[in-house]
Amino acid sequence: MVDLTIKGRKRPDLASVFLYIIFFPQLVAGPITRAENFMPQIRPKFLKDVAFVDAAQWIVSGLFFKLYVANNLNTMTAYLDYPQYQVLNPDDRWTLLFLYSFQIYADFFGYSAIALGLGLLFGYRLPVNFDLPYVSLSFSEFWTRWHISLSNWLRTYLYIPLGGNRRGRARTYLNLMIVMGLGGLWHGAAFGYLAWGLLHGLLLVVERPFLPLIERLSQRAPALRAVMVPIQVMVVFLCVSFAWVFFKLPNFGHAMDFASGLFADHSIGAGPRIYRSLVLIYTLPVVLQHLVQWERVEPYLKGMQPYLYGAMAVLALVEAGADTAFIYFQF
Amino acid sequence: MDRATQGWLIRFAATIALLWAACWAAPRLVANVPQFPIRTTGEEQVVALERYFKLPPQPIVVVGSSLAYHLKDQFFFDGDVRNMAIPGDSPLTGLAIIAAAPIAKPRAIAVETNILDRPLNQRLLDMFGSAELHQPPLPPLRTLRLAKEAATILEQTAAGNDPKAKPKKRSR
Repeated sequence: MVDLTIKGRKRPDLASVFLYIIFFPQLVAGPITRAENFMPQIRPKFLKDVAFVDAAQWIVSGLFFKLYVANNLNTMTAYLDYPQYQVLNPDDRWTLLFLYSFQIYADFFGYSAIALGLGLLFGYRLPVNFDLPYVSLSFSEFWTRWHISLSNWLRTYLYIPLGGNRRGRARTYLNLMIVMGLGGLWHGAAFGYLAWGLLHGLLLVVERPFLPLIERLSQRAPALRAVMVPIQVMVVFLCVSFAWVFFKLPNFGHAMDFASGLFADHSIGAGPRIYRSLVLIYTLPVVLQHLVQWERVEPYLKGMQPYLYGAMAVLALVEAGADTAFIYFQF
Repeated sequence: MDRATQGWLIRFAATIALLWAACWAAPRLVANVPQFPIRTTGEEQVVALERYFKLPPQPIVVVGSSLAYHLKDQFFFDGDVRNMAIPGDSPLTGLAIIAAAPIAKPRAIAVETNILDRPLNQRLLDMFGSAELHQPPLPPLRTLRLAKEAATILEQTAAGNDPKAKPKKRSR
């Protein structure tokens, strides 16, 4: 709201301000919608202008990712909580940690997609919040694809005011650590969230000197690029998944205890049965969404779309996992 | 709304209606559809109570919590006992469901009380308070997955390699 006056835009009337604040699709957990994007959309709406197909696609995708993927995976990753994780051996810890990566993505992408679809039904286009984050080639790219509206907010209101990358290398690194640390604390006042943010800050700092080098190598040897790309994707996914430990277990002691059990077997008692076939069918939508080049496939699927979305809607209902709140509702 | 949008929405709704009807009808038309793997206590509770309403009634019924739940009906020599103990729940829920269900009441009810302060579970009472069987629509993927596992077990058994006899190796 302050931005509007700073940028010399017209001051909005009180009704518009209230509408902006109480617009329920994005009220609880984002996407963080800036006034400068929302206010220009406040105007009389007509039924004929509503993008019903787009809205249905977003809402069905969101429900599918939440009910089918995230809720089903949640019944498995419940073992990552304290004290249940103590029965997990290292193999199961890694498996469930990767599953949690898929779950938290499906959960939050699902919420954002439903919010976007609901917004469209009211004639408002909210910002897209996720852009296939798990195929990022670097940690900096990850943060341009994950919770995009929060990343933009942190960049605009923290990183750039702190000086961004304009005050030398050391200050840039410090700024990255400060921004990511505060970004972690934004999720809750627990040391685990701070550790999660600082770990991401550290990853951003460590990769920074290597990025130009990798880019130069890729340009000189395209064959090398074919090898480098999957390695980069896997390294980013592995590190991001490891960092979720601090997110899932905000108690720092529990997080460290869990993390140490990833490398040495500290398990006590009998672990859970992890049905790998179920793991496959529940994670498949996230894998396909990330790996299939949809722009190539889309022309062939265009006529099939209503049937595919219909099947997704039914699967979301009949194959839904046990009810759980959206993960981001707690923040 | 333009014609293309209307067409899209009609095909979308028809797909939902058709698939939903198929999933709803499948367990009603096909006997003994395999139960998909139980993963949560909530699902375990539903399965425990479905047994009570699906299987032939017995003169003696056991109500209780997980302590009694693990007793198989076959454990009782005379075979006239039906175990409807609910894991993670209270015997009060079992008693209330027996009282509310409009079917013949058992001659005797054995009550196991392990944890005394668990209240009545209204959700389960609402689901099973009437005798009508709660039969959710078929989850096709989970059912297929279970059919595959059942086929594997049958193959292993036929080959004389009983999977249950394997020492301690955890089933996946």
